[in-house]
Amino acid sequence: MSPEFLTVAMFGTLIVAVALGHPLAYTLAGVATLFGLIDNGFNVPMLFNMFANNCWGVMDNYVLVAIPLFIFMAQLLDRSKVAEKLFESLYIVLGSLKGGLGLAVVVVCTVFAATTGIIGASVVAMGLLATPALLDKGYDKGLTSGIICAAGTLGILIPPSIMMVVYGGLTGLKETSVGNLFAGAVIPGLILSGLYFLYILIRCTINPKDGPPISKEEARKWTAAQKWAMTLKSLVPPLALIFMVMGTILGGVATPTEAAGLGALGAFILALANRQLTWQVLKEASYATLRTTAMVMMLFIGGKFFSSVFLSMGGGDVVADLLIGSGLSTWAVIAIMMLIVFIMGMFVDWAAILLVTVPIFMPIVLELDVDPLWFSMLMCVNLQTSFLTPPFGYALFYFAGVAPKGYDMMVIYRGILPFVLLQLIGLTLMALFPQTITWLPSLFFGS
Amino acid sequence: AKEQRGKFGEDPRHEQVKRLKVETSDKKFRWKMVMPWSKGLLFYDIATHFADSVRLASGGRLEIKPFSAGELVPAMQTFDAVAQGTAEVGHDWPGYWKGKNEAFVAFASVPFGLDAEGYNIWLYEKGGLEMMQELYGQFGLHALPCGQVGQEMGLFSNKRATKMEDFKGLRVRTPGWYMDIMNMLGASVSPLPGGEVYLALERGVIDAAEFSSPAINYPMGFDEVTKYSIQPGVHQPACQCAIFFNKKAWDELPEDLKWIVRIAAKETQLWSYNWVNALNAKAIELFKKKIELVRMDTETLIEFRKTTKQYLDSLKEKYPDVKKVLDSQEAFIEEYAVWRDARSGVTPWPYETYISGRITE
Amino acid sequence: MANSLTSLIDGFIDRQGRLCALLILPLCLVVIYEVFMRYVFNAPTTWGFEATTFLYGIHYMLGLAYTELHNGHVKVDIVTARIKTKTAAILAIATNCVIFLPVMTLLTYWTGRFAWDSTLQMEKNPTSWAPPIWPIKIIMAVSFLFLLLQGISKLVHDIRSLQSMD
Ligand code: NA
Ligand code: NA
Repeated sequence: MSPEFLTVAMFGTLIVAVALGHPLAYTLAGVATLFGLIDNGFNVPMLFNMFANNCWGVMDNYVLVAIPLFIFMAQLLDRSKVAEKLFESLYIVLGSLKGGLGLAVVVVCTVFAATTGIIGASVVAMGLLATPALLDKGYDKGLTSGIICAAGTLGILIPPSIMMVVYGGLTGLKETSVGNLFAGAVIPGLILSGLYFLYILIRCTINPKDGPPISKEEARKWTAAQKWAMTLKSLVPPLALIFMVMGTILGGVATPTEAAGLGALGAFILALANRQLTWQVLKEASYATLRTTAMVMMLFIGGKFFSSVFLSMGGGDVVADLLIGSGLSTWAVIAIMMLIVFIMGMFVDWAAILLVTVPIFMPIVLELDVDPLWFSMLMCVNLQTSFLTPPFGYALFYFAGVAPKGYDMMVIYRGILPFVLLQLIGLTLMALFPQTITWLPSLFFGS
Repeated sequence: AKEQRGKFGEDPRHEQVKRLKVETSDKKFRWKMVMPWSKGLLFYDIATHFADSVRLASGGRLEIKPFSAGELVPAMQTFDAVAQGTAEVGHDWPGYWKGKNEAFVAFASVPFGLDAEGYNIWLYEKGGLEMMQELYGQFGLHALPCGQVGQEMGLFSNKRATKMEDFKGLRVRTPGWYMDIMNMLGASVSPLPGGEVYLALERGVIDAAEFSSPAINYPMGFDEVTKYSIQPGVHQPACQCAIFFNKKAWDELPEDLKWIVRIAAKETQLWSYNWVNALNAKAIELFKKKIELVRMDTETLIEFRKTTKQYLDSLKEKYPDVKKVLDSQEAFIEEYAVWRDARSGVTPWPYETYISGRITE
Repeated sequence: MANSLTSLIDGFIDRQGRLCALLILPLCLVVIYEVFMRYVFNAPTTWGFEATTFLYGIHYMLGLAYTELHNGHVKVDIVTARIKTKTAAILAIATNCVIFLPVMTLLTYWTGRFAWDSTLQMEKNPTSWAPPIWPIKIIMAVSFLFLLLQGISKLVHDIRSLQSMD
């Protein structure tokens, strides 16, 4: 069978198989097995030796060590109640503005995004904490869920982030080293956060019904000095943590992987200082860490199987010929890639998308002489959207899991739409102004 | 009476080929080649050059499709993948398989060991190839020398180290045998994974690191984040690569294609040396704009040499296979020294350099 | 009979999972120790990076079955959430038999062969510390065996719950 046919058939089969509701990682491995065998004339030893080699390669990858460490850090942080304290003080500081509580959520999430490498923890924490507060003040339900899901997802974009760890581990390029990706993601993350902020401010100013301020009496309980003192005090722990991770990388103390370990230590100390840490809590955090880590790593394994079979049967060349050979402009090729990732993001998990698309896209990007760091960051911003796009959006599910009764999935879907549009606006801005991505890495790492 | 003298040498292959009935087979082969190289490394081009040569010479009867590191299997699984038949062909720097048998390193590069000329003579004329094939053979592989890039560059460093005491406590990243030697010399060696080196140098996690020859180093940009390059690269006077085949696949090749493969491997060995070294001179020119090239002084080099011998001797005691290969290489170095000595003095330096008397070796 | 077997498997997987979940603690310790020794004493270890990698590998590999037990492997349930529970149960059994069982059986066998080859060579890491890596490769194969067992246990559960729907 021709590689062209197999390429189309393999992706087609994947789409159908994914819909069957079987775990994604196994489905990727299953489709890889089927097409690997068709391609190599049903040579089982040949195919499964390749799989065994790939499994070992994932086990033997130092860069990926950061994944369990960042997850553990987030689990400890989640139990340390640091986010709660910050939200409580911002509630008071920003609450008297129109849409102020929504803005408080965005600020808390942005600060916490810089301390945690995953999402989930922030969406769940803010969902539990902020949803009742916002609804209580009469916030629009859709807006409430949209703010929490979108801002809570910033954790995967603003460094540290396991998405960038996975990306760096996949490409092995100097330009897209984990350190460069971390530096490159700072401004894009802040741009998105800023867009959310502006949107909430403008929407609630035009239509205060959607996000009313807290009552005058409540606001008057504290003096301005008290407000500032509270905020500064609650900002110390997260800032210390940011320093533990990003500070040690930039200061030459630790590699990004080691910084993840130091971050876990920092979160441990914070939880201890807030008297939240018991042996039981530590155990629970460890169990939760293992479940999330094993889920990501199994996807890594399945994704590796898929991409190695796909490349082995010449699928990479087929896609490259299609995109480059058809005489499309570089911009068109990039736009098509972004569209593919966006659409996949509606249905498939971010890690699976990265693992399937990066090995196919990166050679094309290099051949087109596109800056790999810039392209990688566009991919990451685009993938951040996958947490939010219906029908399959992690953040939406996390939110639905902790939302008060009476939150219909359709309300959540409707609420997230403006934020997805904001993300696409952000993505366009970063595409048009590459400096937003490349400036910080060149400042820090001179590349 | 004057002794009778015949011709001093002969090409043993000629007799072999005379007896051989070579016929052109019409069977087509499509093989996969895996390697530890990403596309950005010149080693990838060397492996691809070999595949191209085979395709050209066989008129497309043997097509070898190269897959860069991680495409089919992870970089360090190249060996296992070919041994198990996932791919028919692998390209490598044999030292990567140190964990399988310590002796692989001796076919890749030895500190203060063979240079490019030395490897060529030892491998092809002094029994090196047979030893190499015996070692790979133990793992169900058939190997050929295929790619030689010559001497590597010394350490990229943020500390100027030319004297013995400068190396004490220097935080160095280097893998393999040289790591142990540097440790014995008092450096503080960290086996940082390859992908972390650039950032670690730039942020000062380590002081110094080495990677490969100048042209191969250039795109890595280590000169952007260091001040000095400490010469010479005594850790690798030469860097020898190999091509290896799954034994079952190799045995299925008809005789004419086997010869095409052997000749293409040798052609790649020649081409790679010329190609990379022509680029090396250019790369050094560029490096000099960013960093200062400094030389270790003679006493330091002698200390390094002594410690290296001590280390290699201890390896020989521990591993019989290492002893066999290193003894053979050292015997060749001894035996060849008379000719090296006799011919020295006419290295083609520019006229002005030569008559200044600065370098005549 | 099937009941006691699945609860045996589930119980065992849960316990080994909880135990290896705690590997995250030594993993953190080794990483922090390495940074500390290098940055404070200028004395990096020869073993830190490799020990870190081993701990990470063992940690998540032995967690695969545990995560399966706790339904932690992410799936796309846009279709299954909209169909009848009985149809969904049949679909779960079918995908398990068609996708999971064959792939994991082969993977267990071939990673076992992979570990066996490494063990025969007494394979070491190609580094200065040169620790043996064949035990880690055995753990890799054993992890897939555990995952396979857990998948079989899940299949039995699903069949039983399908029967109870009739
Ligand atoms: Na983050
Ligand atoms: Na989505």
